[in-house]
Amino acid sequence: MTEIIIQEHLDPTWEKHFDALSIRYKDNLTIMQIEIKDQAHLHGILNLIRDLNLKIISVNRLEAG
Amino acid sequence: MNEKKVRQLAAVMFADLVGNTALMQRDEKLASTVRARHREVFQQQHKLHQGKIIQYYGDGVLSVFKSAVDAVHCAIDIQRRLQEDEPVALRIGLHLGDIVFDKSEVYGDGVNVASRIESLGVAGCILVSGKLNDELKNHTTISTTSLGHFALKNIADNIADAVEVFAITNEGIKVPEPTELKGTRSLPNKTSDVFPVTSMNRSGENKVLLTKLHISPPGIQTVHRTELFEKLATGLKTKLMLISAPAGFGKTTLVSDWIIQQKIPAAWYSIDTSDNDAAEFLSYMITAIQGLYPKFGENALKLLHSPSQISPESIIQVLINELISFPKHFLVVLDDFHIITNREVLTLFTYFIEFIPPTIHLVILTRADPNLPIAKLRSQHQLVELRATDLSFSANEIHFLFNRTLKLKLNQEDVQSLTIKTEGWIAGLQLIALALQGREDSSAFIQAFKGNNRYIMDYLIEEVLKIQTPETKEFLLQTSLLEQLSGPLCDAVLDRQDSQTVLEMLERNNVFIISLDAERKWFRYHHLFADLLKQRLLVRERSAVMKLHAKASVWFEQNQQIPLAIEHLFQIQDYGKAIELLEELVEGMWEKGHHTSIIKYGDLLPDELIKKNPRFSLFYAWVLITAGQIQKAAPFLASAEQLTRQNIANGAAIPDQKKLVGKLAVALAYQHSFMGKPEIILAYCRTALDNLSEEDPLWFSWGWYAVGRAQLANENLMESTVALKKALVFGKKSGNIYLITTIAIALAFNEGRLGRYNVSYQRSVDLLEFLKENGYAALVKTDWTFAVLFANMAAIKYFWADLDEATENIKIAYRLCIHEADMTSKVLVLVVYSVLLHGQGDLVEAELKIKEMEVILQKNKVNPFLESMYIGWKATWLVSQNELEKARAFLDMHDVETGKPISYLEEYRYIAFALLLMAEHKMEEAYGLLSQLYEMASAQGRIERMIETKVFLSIVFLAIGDKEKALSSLTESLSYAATDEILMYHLNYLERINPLLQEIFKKQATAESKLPQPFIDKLKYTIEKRKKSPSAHFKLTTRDREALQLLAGDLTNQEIADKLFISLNTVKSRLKDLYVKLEVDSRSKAVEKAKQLRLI
Repeated sequence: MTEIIIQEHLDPTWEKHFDALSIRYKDNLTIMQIEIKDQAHLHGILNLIRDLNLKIISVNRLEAG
Repeated sequence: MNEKKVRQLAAVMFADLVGNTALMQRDEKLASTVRARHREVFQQQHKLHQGKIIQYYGDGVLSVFKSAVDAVHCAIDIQRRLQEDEPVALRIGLHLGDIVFDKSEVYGDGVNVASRIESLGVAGCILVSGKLNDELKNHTTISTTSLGHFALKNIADNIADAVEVFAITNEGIKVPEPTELKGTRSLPNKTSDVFPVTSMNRSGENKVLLTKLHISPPGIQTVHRTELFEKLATGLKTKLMLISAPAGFGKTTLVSDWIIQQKIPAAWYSIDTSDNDAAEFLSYMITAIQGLYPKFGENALKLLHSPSQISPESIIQVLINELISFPKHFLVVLDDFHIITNREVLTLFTYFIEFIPPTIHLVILTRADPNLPIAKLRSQHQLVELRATDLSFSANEIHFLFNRTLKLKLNQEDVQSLTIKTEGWIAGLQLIALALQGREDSSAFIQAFKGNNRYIMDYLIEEVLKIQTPETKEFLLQTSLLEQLSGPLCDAVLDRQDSQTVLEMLERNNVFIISLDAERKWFRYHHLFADLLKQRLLVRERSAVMKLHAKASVWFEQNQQIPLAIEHLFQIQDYGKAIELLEELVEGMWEKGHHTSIIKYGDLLPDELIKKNPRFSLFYAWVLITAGQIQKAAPFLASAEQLTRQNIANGAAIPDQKKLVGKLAVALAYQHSFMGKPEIILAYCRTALDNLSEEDPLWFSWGWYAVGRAQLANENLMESTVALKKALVFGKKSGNIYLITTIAIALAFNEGRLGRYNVSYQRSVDLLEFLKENGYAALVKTDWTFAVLFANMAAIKYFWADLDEATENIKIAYRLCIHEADMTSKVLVLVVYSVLLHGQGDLVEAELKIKEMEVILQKNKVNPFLESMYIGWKATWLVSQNELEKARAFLDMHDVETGKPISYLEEYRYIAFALLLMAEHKMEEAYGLLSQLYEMASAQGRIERMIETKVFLSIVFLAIGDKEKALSSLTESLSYAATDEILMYHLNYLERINPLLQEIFKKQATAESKLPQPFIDKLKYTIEKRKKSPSAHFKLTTRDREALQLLAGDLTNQEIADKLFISLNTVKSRLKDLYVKLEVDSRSKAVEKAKQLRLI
């Protein structure tokens, strides 16, 4: 499981686009949880973030469980 | 390349009677009267204007003139004469071009173009090519007018080949309207419902989308950014301008505005996802530059059309060589470079940057820094960078945009808020501007926006969509999944009739739409805007979205935009339909060298589906093999073969079945050539050649080439050579540079081994000449495949005893291959180099080359033939250094012993073994081995080896005292060597065979022998010359040289002994040997002589 945090509140309708399991907000941030299949998948997600000019705050691998 | 032929540049006339064949059927008599009169006028006028009639073809005539002006005058007079009395309908075409006279025929580019131009015309007209028209400029007696550019059938392979056609407008000559002409006009920006495209090949596949090369002028509301222009202008002194920033920072607008405002010559290329293929990428880049220099890059494009992979460095060198000659500075702009992820393209581009001439400036627009040597360029001051902070709008610019350009009357505070909230991000600002249109309460809107935590774009796009009519909103959403939009396409996808009006309205309102051509037929949405719209569309029901893709795909298919149709099919995973379309497309892609694209499609499609499609399987498997994925390719070829067999057995009528069987067999032979079973390969080759014909010269040639390789592996050098000769004939017909080169090099190598040095050398020279003439001189200097060619030329020159030229050739070969990955050619080059150095008496360097081989062989497995060459040469070297024990141990290690069958592959090591046995005075054993080797060589007609073994045998006979046999052996070896004047095998053993040779020369004088005199003279002359030359004469070993060096350093015998770790006695005996060899009697004289001879 990977948690990507970006600045500003992203509309929940993006969930499908990002393959995200959930989208929630904290303060001014959006926290997405995504099951990353492989590196290519991750790069695809990062490219999408880049293409939308969203600002990445962090990308973290969460321990299973 | 051996035929006698004459090539010349000439004005070529092609004239044809119009409608005479039809007349012939109606009124034979009249028709032949017309023809007779036509011929009479023709002959008369040609005499008058110094033309030469080459050939009559029924109603057509081909003639040539030395001068373009004469040709035109002649044409005018002919037309005028034929209009008198009863007019004769005649069309004339003229062109200035290459024409080749063969024994039996006349051909060449000049003939083809003249004939095509002629066929465009109407009765009574004279059409001339642009090239010929250039010659007429200062001649007031001739007037012409341009009719536009035409793609000439079978000639125009790409846009640059479209020929501008002119009509002669002199009095009495008919001038056709451009619309009357029969050809296809190709305008660099032609408009149609279909994409503006230019056909890249005859079958019309793989078209270039000109929309990708269009510089879109910025909209009327664009803020001209003079400060940034100044920064960009500094880039006109550097190799690269890098504009790197996320989407929506106005990169494209800035650069296109700069180019248009400052009128800077530029080639523009907007990259999309299909461009992750080296061949595709280069085609577009070349076509973009052709907008400025129409003839640019044709050679490189042809080179890409290769069934195998070409080294990117070579292609770039070919391009750079052309670019250097362009006098004017210009830009090459690559928009959306971040899309390029393919390693091959990036490597190619890295080379390009490295070698780019100073007149060309690259501009890369990208969302992410590219994987190119940016840091290096920066440190060389060859880079100008603009990044997000440079591009973002300042408060001043925001004020200017909203208040001056859009007249929205924002106050200072609002502007400040926008600056902070958007951080000057232009896409955001423009959406705000859109959302503000028609609103009274700007400040309220800005305050609400400022206080909102949502992603700016989510917020703004909704605001913008809110103020659109429901109809427009729906249009925007549903068309968002189209990469490019046109009225007819949108009509088809949305079932409406007024899309063009909607698109124009959107453009007027500045709704993130960019026009892609000058006629405003094609548009695209700004990428970011499209992404946002698409996201809103995709949350809808999937079936509705699928339907849109399906409709778009149908439209593209109907409008012959197959690749775009396929893209949409992949979106909805309609693989069955996709492979159906791909089947038609794949061969053209393969011919164009679009390998990566074929692999991409193949990887997307389910394997099981591919296996059911033999045609797609064929090409997919082929490119997999060239990419080294032989295992992966095998099952596709196997199923294709099986399925095709089944189809034939069932009598299924599939078009071109025979050809498919043949091509599949070629591919299977290709696949098996990596697995080394000549019998299987030959079986496939038979099938291939049975089913293919000259109609497919490329495949037919490849089939014969495969036979040639397999026969060589089977040790049938003759059969291999015959097959390669056939392969070359058809290879030339196919015009494929890669194929011609590969075959010619293999053939020249074979011929060398057969001892046909004259033919082999001439073939090599012809190939180099051919490549140079066709504009590939740069290729020869950079591509390692030519290392083998130069090594072969060096070897031949060596055996002709021309060591200086041999050295020149081997140096080229060495430079070409030494940094390349191909080990086989490296070892070959090193062996030849070492032999040559040894022949020149440079023993130290010769030994270093052997060591270089050993380093390679320790780490790599090479072709067994070449391994044998190395073993043979190293052992020969050891014997020549009198290191007999080491030589024996070395050959023992490689299982060399007498009394067993020897294969061709192992031959070299046995030659060395024979030398060793001779040095060990085991003459009987040597005799047996040499006889065996001679039998082998003579059975295959391998002259080289026949000479060598006979020379050795002569030495053996001499050693056992049988002078008669020694003489007859030597006479035989000389007779073999005579035809191609091969000298070196005799010269190398001169100290032993010279007395015998002199005896034979004497007999020759009394005409007892039948050796050709010129050869004998040459041999005599070379022997005399070598007697005078220093180093080769004194057979110094490496050890001798070591001792000499120390001697020259004024060391005592004891010091020398210490240095060399040998005893004082050994030193003494070694020095004694040295004195004898140098024919001196003291230390000082030895040193003096050595210096004289440049031995130290």
